[in-house]
Amino acid sequence: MKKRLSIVLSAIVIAAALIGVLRWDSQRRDAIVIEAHIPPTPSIKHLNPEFAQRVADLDKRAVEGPNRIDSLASLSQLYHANGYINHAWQNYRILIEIDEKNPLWPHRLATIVSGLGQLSDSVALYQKVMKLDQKYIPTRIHLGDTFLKLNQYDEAKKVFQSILDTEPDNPYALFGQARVALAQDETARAKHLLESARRANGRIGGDLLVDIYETLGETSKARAVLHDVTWSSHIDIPDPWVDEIVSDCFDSFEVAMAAGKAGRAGETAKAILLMKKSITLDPLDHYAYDHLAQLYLDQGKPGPAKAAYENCTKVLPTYDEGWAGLISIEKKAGNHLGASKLIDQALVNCPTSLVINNLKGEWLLNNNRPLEAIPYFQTAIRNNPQFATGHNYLASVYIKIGQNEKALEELQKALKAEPSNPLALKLITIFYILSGHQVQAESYLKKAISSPRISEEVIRNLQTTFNNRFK
Amino acid sequence: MELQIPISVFSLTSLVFLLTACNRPTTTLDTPAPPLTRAEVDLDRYYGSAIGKTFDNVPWVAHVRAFDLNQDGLMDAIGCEAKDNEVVWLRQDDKGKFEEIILASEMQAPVHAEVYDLDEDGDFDVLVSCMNIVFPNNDKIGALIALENDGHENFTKRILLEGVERVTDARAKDMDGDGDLDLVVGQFGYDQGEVRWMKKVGKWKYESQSLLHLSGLINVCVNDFNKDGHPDIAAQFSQQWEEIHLFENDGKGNFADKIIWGSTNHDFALSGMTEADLNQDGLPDLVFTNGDGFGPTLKPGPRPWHGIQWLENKGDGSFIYSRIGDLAGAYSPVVNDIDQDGDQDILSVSGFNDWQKPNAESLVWFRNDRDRGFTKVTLAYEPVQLLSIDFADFDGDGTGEIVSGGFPNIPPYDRISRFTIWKETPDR
Repeated sequence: MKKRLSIVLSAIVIAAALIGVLRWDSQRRDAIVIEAHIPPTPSIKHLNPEFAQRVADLDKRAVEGPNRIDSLASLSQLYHANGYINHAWQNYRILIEIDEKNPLWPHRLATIVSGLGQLSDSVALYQKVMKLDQKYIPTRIHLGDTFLKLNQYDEAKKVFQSILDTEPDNPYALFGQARVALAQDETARAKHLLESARRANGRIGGDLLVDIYETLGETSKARAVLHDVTWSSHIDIPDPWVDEIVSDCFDSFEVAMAAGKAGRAGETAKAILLMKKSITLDPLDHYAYDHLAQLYLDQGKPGPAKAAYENCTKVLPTYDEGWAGLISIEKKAGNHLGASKLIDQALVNCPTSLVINNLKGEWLLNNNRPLEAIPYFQTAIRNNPQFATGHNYLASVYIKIGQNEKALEELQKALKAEPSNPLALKLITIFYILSGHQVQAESYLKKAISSPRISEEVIRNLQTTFNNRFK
Repeated sequence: MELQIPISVFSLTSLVFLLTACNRPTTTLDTPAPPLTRAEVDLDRYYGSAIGKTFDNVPWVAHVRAFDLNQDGLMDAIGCEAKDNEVVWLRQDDKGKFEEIILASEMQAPVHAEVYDLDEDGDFDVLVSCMNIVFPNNDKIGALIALENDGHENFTKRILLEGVERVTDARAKDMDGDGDLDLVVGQFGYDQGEVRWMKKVGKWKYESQSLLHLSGLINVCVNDFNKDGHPDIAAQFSQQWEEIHLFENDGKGNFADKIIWGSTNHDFALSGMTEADLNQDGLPDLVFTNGDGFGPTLKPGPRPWHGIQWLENKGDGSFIYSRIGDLAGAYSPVVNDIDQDGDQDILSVSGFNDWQKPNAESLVWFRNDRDRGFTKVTLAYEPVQLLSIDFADFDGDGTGEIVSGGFPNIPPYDRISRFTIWKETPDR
């Protein structure tokens, strides 16, 4: 009995010792790998002090312990988030070696590697992620994109199809398949895929679809898509494993970029939080206040938007867009007197501004003082000759005082500055229709029809007016 | 109670212990990171002097090209002023002074000019790419305009292409082997864009053939990249594509398209490309920048991945990619032997650096260290917001000078320039 007990106890002691030894050895091995490969910390000169301190602390803990892997993971993310790409790259390599079951590290490294254009090197990393986590879609989208850019169409197709097998409406996979189809001259298939992608997400595929419609002569469809495109038709697939690193970012500009990306993707609340963080990091960035105000307006919150614009004009009183935003809010609230006072304040700070001079002129025009408005529009034009708006306003002054020929002259100048300015095109077309100049009217009507910035409704009205007058 | 541990277990444990204690694991990690950029500062190497007319409004010099337009043996420069809609000639006189002469006005936002004898009459004409509106616009308002030289440097406008996506680059080359100069045209557009070639079919007459519809085209380069005796086209696409395509020419004007490089970072921000034999192996390579500062927020600015890259031509239509170095807001790569040591270096400028920082570089030389490595040498911190440069021997002393163009678009507009000539300091 005693002997059996002693054997059992011995076995337990030995097993515990073995586990302890193996664990100790694993940690020892991690420490050796980390020590051998961890890059030296960057010079702390000019760095955000909190960032520099965190780097120093995490670097020390990654090398000396405790919690080496966690510390190295945090350090890698910190480097990655703050633009130290080489440092992040090297640390992710170490993590792949010592924390081999975690798909986060090969995924993040793969996005860096393929992002820097080392496409072939990234393939194995993406494939490693797919073995560790078969469900994370962004990895597959990136891998498909990588294969496409390597001209490996069959592989790209397989990867995109593997997503569509489980998510048949995934717009990014549909878009990827469409690009492969286009590369293989399968236009009809590409068209079908892009239409499906756009049905799933209106921000995906419009650019390529317009070209296809135009090539196939389906111009009204092309116009319809172009009318939907307001600010670049494309958005990237959200990639939480990479996007989340912004929480460790100390660079106000990078945080603002992340806010912009979230805003573009329609995640306005997230964008506002990020923009506020950006402002905390750089309270003197007038662009950030302006952007924050716009995000609040997107949410339908003029109160906080106004506060953000006020901060914007305090930070940089010569920044005209901040004033313009503030004036717009007052006007929409029906506070025309307040708006007028703000316009005068803005003019003092931004005397050559296009937008502020136009606003002043517009206010005078609306208050039946057209002749007083003229110098403001002229100032706007003189200082910003590349824009049409000053000419358009001046034309409206001349129309108001009955000088139609002068108005036409200004509209022509507007078109010289901006060849397809929708308002100028529309007004010139109407002018020639009403004055009975059929040839000129037809010519401008054609230009209007070919401009994607003029709505179908306006085109229809112009066409009807033209037909009524000449046919 | 006496514990009795079997000898075999004890031995095994001891062995494991000894092995692990004594054996230091060695690891070789996959996928090494590119080397960190080696950096130096040499602000005294060049001194810059403004040339051309003085300015009150913020200038928009989108492109500058060194060329002896009147063939008087003195190097001149051609510039595109996109806001004033002018193509100008910075004509150098025998005293080294530059007079700015307007070659053409009302030029629809010119952004790129190249010089060729397009009509083969013995003088040089200017081929101008026009965007019409420089900032984002989806309208088909681009134009390609030739400025025809009458032989006395009087120029007449000839519109070769209009009503297309905004044109950003065009080159002339005999693409189909019939002995005349055809055109290769890149159209940035915005959501739509295109690369096409235009076969010359008569004096100032061309027929277009589309090669690819894709937006964001920045530059085209034309050379026999695959060494089959026919000129091919390399085209750089930015926007969300971030790709470089090679259109291989069969010599009869038929082109096969393939991607020779790409990034999956849709904000990689490709910004310029040039062709040159960087490693002097007799094959034309491609050197390109990424540094466009515009993104999804209101403020344009630098990104951590901005820099310079090299696609080394293997001669069979394939290329090897190498990162040359980092440069925030990098634009306008120029390859030349800057220090006259027999190898090819790279110059670049920054259009979108963090100008609040006093050490934000605006003009940079990547010095070839002959080990496939380059040292980044900062040549100037100002003027800021430069978009285009060229390098040529302007003063005839055998060493080259730099000409730069400024395109400021981020206030405040201080420390800005229009045209600048950068000469080596005399004792260098």
